[in-house]
Amino acid sequence: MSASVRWRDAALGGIGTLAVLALWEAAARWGGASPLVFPPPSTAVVGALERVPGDVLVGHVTISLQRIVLGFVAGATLGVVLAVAGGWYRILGNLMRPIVELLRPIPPLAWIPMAIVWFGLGESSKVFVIFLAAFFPVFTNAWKGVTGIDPVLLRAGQTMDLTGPALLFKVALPAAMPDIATGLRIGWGLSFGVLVAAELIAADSGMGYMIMNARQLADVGTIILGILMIGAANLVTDWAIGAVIRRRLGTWHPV
Amino acid sequence: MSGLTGAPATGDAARPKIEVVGLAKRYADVDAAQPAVLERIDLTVAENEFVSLVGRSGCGKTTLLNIIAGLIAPSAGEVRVDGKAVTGPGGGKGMVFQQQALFPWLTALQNVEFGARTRALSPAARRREAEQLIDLVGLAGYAERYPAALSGGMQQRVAIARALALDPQILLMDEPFGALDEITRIDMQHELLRVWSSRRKTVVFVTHSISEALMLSDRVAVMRAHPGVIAAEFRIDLPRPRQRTHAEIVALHDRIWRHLN
Repeated sequence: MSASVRWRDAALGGIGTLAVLALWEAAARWGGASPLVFPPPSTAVVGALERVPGDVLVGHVTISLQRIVLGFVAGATLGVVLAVAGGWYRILGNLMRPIVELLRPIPPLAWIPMAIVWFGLGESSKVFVIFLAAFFPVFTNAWKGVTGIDPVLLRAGQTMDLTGPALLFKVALPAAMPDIATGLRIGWGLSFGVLVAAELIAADSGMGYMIMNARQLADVGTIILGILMIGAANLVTDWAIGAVIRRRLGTWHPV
Repeated sequence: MSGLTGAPATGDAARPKIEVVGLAKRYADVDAAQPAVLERIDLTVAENEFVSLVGRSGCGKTTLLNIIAGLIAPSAGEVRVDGKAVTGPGGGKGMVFQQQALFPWLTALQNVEFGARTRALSPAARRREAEQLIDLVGLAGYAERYPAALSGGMQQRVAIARALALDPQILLMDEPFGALDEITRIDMQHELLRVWSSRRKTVVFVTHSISEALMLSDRVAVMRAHPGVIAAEFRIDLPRPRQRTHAEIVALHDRIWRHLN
């Protein structure tokens, strides 16, 4: 894609975003709704920024990202390890597949009461819910990657004296990387998806807490600011992960 | 036309490199009434001989090659290389596959280096060997490309270089040019003969193209299906490169065709 086409696409994206904001602004100003319920974005965000100090905002973002990173890293690591082991060694796979299939459709939020009983009201229960959100998509995609390898690649490896773990690490794992990468990106997105719910658990910090707390204070502006911050944090981090994946895999695989 | 050339070949006087003895392959999980995939296969390949297996789809020629490679176990009989029974893949049996079997996450050069991985070479020597093989197959200038950025013919050149990087005594080729267009295919046949003349190997070459087998081989084994058997063998004592229109080639083409039907 040429630079001019990229610029044009970026410009169109910007125009689309601004158009939605402009419509919202116009509807709020001239639509007759109460500004306490449906404020225009300009006054909502500006007002919220005046009420909530910058260092407090940064603190909320930092603690939320910390929880997401902890839960995601734990869930993704376990997901990749179990899926690769189970996808490669048939006995392990047969052992784990039914239980994973049973647990997979359960929404991570259904685990919140269990999380509180097991881990109390501290950080661990919030991280656990995010862990669950990250684990399943990573597991499912890594499994698909390891079990879906073109057999000719494995046979080629075997004719080059690779067997057992060497074949797994030198052929199967690199071949499964595109699917594993897809799982990681989906898992990262879902980790954000359960953040607000995880921060419902007796939290006094984080972007989810900020939103819920603002609701009790009927501070619609802060709610809107918090929502936009979650979106922006997800967007920026997902873009960064995508950039790393493109750097690592983009040379040989279309991503 | 000399009387002997083109006559069905009998046993070979030279030292046997590969011996296939009383080989059979059945799949136990399919209907027992089905004919065997392979039955009573006997084949001897002399050192540095180029033998082609020709037959229709489903005649078991690829299965036979995979058994020789040690990738599939036979139901009966055995394969010997230098008198020793084959029990698994690897160990100096290089293989070139029909489809894209290059590792897509490695460049052309890295793929070839991977082939040289188990040889007792220093990393620098391995790199030099890989570069020489890339040159040998005519891909100088494409060493840093990933397989996805190479044409089908170029990919098969890399695959040949990768198999040669093992420094194998035996080169097994499973319809390596089957997915190429005809013009590229003829180019690749010439290339293979050129490479083979500089790095002499014992070659077993599976193809469904009679003319390809006739252009390349010292000997052609014709296979028939249900059950898969070797129906006939033909020796071709003509110097290479050969002319497709040479009277003996044309006559042999005809005879092989009749054996296939």
